[in-house]
Amino acid sequence: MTQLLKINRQNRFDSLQPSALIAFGDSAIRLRKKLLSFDDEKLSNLQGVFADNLLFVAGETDNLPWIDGGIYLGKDANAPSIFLPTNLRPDIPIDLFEKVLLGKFAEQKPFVVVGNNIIPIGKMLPVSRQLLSEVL
Amino acid sequence: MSNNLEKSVEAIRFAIAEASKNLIERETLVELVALAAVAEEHVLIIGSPGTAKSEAVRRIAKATGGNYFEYLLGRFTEPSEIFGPVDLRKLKEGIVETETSGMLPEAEIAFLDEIFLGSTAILNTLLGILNERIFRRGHTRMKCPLRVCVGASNALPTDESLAAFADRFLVRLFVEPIADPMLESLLEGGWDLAKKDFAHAAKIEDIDNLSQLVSTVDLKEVRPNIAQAVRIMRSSGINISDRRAVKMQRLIASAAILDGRIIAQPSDLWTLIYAVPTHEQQSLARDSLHELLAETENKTLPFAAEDASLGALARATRLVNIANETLVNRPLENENQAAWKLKIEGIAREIDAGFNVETMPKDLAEVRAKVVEILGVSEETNDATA
Repeated sequence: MTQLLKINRQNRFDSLQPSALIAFGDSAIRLRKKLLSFDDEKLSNLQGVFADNLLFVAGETDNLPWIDGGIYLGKDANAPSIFLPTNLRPDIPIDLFEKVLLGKFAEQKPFVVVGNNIIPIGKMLPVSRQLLSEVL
Repeated sequence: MSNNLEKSVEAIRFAIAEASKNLIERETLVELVALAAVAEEHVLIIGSPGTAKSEAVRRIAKATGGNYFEYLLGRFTEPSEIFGPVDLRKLKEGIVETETSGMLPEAEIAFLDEIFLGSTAILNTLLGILNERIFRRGHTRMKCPLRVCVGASNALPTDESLAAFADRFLVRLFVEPIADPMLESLLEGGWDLAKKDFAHAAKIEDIDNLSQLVSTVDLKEVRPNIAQAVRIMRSSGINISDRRAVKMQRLIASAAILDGRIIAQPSDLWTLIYAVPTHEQQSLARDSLHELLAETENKTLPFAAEDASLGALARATRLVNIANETLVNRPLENENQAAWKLKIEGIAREIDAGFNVETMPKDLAEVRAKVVEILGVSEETNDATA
């Protein structure tokens, strides 16, 4: 997780379609528990990345789980390599920001920009029970 | 607002809810028919065949207890098929009178599919009914009880004379077929639609009560905003005639009445979008007016308000309504609980995806708390049984 710059944001007038969910700390533990309650078929609709204290899953909106404290992410059409919180709009030109990120870290796309953090997601793995049992 | 009027608003709200049951993604259409009826204006729906246009209108007509007439027009449709046959007994006396019983001149709510295929004779007579609520044909001249006429077509007419006729429909709605992710809901809803009947939730007098109030609505506060909106739209290349600009006020006043107020506010400006004539111009108007529409909200017409403004407050109102309805309809049997909880989870997802927990409207925060409690209990139950 990299903190590069301070990004202010405002509420979005029209929220993005959720296509991923990220959770940190206790919320990540709740998300893991929630995912473990899914059957294998439901899990197979999701892909994800897991790290210390962090869980990120991506999939169709209807396949995304809900947990209290999770942050739904979506993609702005102007910056398809960046996942942003669905309800917030950063006050920076997001298309230019994406160009800068891709210029320097193209191999680590897509990115999550949440709070002041930029999280490189890179290659996502299919979410499985085994994978979940190895994290957090 | 007096009790009677409050009752009428409540009855119309209930009628809209009843009419919308199992109709997937046609809530806006149902709400706009109610809005136009109160405003004494007419609705034009543009969309491909088979998109539940007539079903939606039929249902709101039934739910409001309106005397309903519908007809699919074609190039060879005779005026008598719409307005009624010539009265033969009177014809023998040399008088050309129309027997209007059960036909359009006696309808309170009408749906005319493929309206632009009507002959000149039909459209000319229709013009009198739409504009003046007067039916004139031969020696017949009668006042029509029509509250709202809904016309439908595949596309807007390009012919100039038809375009002038189309201009009589102040409210325009462009409907799309149901999106792929909603197909399951469409199939289930469509299946249930045929099985279930619904209540006559309101009376046509409820619409009349509200219509009478429209002209008393205080527009002083909002008029500068309307003027500003029209200026913005015109400067964006959106064609708003002076007549439309004046008539838009009726829609705004009607939205205020249906929200239980006799003073119009900036939150009622969303109705302007539906008075913009073309699909492309409506999209442009949404973009260019988005700041003016930020406060959009309407308790009776939440779907139409949200669709017009894409505004957060309108979306919040719709979510509160859906959540409250789902919460009170908790199934008793165990087997239906899982599906119900999935629905609750979907609502929670939509709330969290659309709003910041710290800054969301109070009533949405309250409903979210209830939803979180239910889902929290559900998670604990899962833990216990795991």
